[in-house]
Amino acid sequence: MSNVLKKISWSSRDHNAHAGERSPLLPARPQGSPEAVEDDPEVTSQDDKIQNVHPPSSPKEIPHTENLLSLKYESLDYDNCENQLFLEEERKIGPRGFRVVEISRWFICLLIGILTALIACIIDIIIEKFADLKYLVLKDKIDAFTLNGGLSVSLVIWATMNAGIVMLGSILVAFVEPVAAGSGVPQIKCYLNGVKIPHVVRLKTLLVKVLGVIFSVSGGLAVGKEGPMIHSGAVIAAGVSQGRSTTLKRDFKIFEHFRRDTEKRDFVAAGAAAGVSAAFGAPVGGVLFSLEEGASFWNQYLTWRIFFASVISTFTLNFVLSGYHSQFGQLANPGLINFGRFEDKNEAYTWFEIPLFLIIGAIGGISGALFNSINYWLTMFRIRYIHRPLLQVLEAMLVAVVTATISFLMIYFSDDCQPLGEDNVVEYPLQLFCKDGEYNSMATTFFNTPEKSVRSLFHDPPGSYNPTTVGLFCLSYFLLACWTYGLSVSSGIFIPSLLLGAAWGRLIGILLSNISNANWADPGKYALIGAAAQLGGVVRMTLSLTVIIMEATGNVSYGLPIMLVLMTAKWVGDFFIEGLYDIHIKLQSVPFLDWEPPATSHSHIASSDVMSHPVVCFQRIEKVGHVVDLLSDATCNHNGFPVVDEQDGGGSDHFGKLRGIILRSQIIVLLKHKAFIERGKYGMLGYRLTLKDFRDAYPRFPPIQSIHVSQEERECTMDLTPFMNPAPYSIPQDASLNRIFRLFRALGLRHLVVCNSENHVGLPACHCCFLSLALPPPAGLCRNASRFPHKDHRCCFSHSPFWTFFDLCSLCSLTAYTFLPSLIYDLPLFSALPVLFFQVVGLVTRKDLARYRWSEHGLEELLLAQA
Amino acid sequence: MYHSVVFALLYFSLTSAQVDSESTVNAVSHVQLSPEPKSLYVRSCQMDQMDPMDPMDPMDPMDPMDPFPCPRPSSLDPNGRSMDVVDETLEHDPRRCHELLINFSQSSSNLVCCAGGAARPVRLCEGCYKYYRVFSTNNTGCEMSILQSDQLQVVFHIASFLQDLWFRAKCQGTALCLFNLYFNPSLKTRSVKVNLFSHGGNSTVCTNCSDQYGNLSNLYTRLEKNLSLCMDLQDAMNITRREWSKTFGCTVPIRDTIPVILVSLFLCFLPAIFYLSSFLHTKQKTRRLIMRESYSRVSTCLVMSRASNAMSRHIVHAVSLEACWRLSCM
Repeated sequence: MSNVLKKISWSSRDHNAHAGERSPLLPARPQGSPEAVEDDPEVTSQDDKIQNVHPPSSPKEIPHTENLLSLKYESLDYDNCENQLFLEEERKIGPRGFRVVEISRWFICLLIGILTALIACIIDIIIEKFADLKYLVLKDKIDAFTLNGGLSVSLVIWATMNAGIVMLGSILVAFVEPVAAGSGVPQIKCYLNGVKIPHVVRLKTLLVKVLGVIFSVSGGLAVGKEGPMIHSGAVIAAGVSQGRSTTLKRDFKIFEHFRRDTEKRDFVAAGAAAGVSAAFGAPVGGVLFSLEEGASFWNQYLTWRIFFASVISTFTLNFVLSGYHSQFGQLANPGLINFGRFEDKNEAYTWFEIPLFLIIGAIGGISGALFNSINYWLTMFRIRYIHRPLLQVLEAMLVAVVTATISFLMIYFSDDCQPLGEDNVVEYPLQLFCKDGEYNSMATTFFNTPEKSVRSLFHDPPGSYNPTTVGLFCLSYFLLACWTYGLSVSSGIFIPSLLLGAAWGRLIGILLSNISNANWADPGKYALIGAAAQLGGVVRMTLSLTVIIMEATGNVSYGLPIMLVLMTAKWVGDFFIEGLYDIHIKLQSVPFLDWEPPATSHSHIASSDVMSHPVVCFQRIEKVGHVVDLLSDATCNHNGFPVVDEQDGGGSDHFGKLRGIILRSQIIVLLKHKAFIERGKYGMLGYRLTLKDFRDAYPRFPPIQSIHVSQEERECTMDLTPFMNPAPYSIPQDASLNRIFRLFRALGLRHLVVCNSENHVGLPACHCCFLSLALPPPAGLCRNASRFPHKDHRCCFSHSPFWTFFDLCSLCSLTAYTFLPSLIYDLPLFSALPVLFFQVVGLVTRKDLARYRWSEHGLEELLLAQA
Repeated sequence: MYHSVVFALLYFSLTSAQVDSESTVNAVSHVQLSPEPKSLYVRSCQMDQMDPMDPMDPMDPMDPMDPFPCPRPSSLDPNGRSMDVVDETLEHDPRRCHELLINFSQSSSNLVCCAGGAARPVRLCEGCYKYYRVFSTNNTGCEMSILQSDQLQVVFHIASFLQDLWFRAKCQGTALCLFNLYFNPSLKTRSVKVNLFSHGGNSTVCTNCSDQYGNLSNLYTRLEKNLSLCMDLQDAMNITRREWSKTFGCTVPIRDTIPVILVSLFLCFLPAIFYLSSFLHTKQKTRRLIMRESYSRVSTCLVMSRASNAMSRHIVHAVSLEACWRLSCM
């Protein structure tokens, strides 16, 4: 008997774990009555094995809503596990070794920058070639059919071509790697926030993403390649920094030090920054993007390293593309999208235009909110009804067909002809019903890749577009872009938003110049402001977006208007609905922690309300059979287990004195290596487990089902003391939600042990507690202090009734300050043993916390659902 | 009624199928001229006779008659200016520098004069090449005195303006233009000026010339793709196209609006059908709920509220009541 609950929550393992399931190796406790739930025929084979474990009577099923948390998401282990192995290794490496590690961090950042840029180049060049081919063929066809009749045939050809190309991309995404759908920015945002999305940084995802974006952009969908670039950068970073590929089963035996979540997340931040920088030619914007999205826990030194990766990325892209455009060494293409230079005198703004910009910002906010709410309903519908891959592919193809049809109709019925001249170079001029030597100006926007349309909207001289043309284009493109985002194709939202905003911005510019008849109202300038407003209204990024647009424009003096516009757009938009990325994060039921805790969380929610109560704890010396049973029990889907001292008959309230915490993955490794005490005694365990064994298993730890434990072995015992984290963060049960939230955000925690305060606290600990809080001991005095840098935090929050006692004795302790620390920190007990002797009453995880979200109704409790 | 149309300036007498590859100018060499040599030969369309007054002798391109006669550089006339105005600061040889200055002003004014005459329709490259050659002859030696002795820099500005004009018209370098072809011995090229005589009304012109027009248009498109063409050619082609489609109305696109609308209606209906059918026939995806039993639920059921103020007590009350209810449901 097995359970899929576990399997899904054990996210790093995919569907090929069936062998272990069919022949269950371990007996698990029979629980509940089997409920075959066939909500999804694709996964029935797995689902019908599910036992609905929880309330045996009521298998509660609800339609998908946004107020759910899925069990398939895990938290990152950003907090370092300072167990004995770790300390041993640190001692062994020594200061010189850490210098090497630091240098290799820089080297990895260099690699990340270069590889990200190369991927960007490949995408760019292939799309350009592909689009070139497609549009030339189409142009020939349309020209021929215009002369000889039968334009409807060319429409069909266009639609078929688009549908075919999009089909390829969509099949890849829907059948091979669904997580590669969309822009990938929400996923990366989650990852930087500390949530591990399954499969998000895999090599397969990268391949699917790259191919998918090539197909979807050249298939003529209203998508961009910039968002996927960010995701690609992140995947590259996660891959390069590990020095191996689990997918290809190649281990290069390098960078082994970085095989843990802390390091990996930092590199992923660098990769995302490099991706932004390659996409927009905005290295500073890239750094700020990573900072804005992942700033909850951030090392200052990381900023500089990430900036290095960003600059390398944009430089490499520039260099390679200059070679491709046969101007080798002329560094003129800093990013995939280039807004071109705004240097004309008319394009400078004057002071009285600033109110106009604010109005444009507000329009952007409203339009973005409309965009988001339409997309929200559409996505909800898609999740509920279009969840089969085949249907998803079909939907993507239909969108491609309709996109082609609408483009064709717009071109067909447009009478806007512009002379073909030297100054406005049109790449694929389509004559259609225009006179010879003229071209259809609607075709320049539709009959082109979106990036080039954006640039032509920014820079075409005034008078190139007819207001009606632009207005119609806006309307149709708004609907198309809104419809397209969320399909199962790789698609960025940046470029469609920019294009849309540029179109209506230009429209405003044209109208203004018609009204005022002055030359300050340059349509190109208003196109830029409109683009910024629309993008800000959709994605609601603030600082990083300002800098990205500023850098892509290459004009610092636009900083003020762009900032004002983005600010207005965000405020106005937030009044109606959240940003697009947040909507999608919510709809995917990710336990995401916002920037701020819920506003009224101080007073009336204590940690005992938040925590999950029946905690599964282990003794320090635990029987293997017990461990295995607990791990394979379906009800116990936890990933962290407090290690406690003997259960002193505390009943249901508490579970023993806290000694440390151990992760599921660590236990799995222990079981796999059969690190049992008895085996050690008989000399069968040939070597001691080291940190390397844990790193080798990272990041795809096998599920418990695949580990075979014989009947004799079940009787063995294992000692968890050297492997557990002896100094877990803990918090008293009276602490407020606000406080817990800030701890989670600031430290990137995965588990927080909630203790009650009934027991007395060991004296050494409380002295340390007080001292490190009041005055951090000088480094010279306490030699070992650097070994546990987090101690102050833990102690800070372990306030108890004895706090008052500390306060009383603080005065006398202050005098003893000078000699006490050396005494305290050198206590051998202190480094080896847990210092907290609180009793465990509960455990807070990220999901528990994410259930409290701020909404207009006040605090709202989210429900926990299985994906 | 004569429409004097410069119909085509491109006239490749394409014996260049046998163009020797060794002698081709690199700018022209990659133009695929060979495939249909004969069809590109634009015969004088309606009338075979050349305009007797045609100033260009196509067979002698090296010495075309001056189409835009300007005052000839009347050699150098030192008497045009009194010699005592010669600036004493001219270095080396004041007289020579002054000569250069006169020379320059003469040649530039010739070029300007010619360019003005060749402005519409643009015949700049072709008509004024000679003047440009004279103008751009390198005369060195007096840079210090002429170019750098004052801030106004008349000479410099005139020269750069003319250079710029010349470059912007793409008369220079690799751009394909007629004189490029003249000087390319391997390509026998001619230019013709065809007077299109529309005696029988527009329809005759259209039917009779459509082949030639099509070939010309194709050729131009192909050349345009591979090379940059000088302004003369572009302008000639533009005029030709405008005449063709506007004056004569020979380009008649065939609209088929009804089929287009039908097809697009059909295509736009597909998604509606798709969504409707998936709404009706797909079973809605549901989620299994796992309620967390929590310590607080039990405790808050018993201990009503630990919050102090009335406002928050209210909220906790609501939460805990709901929790109690849930527990009882289970």
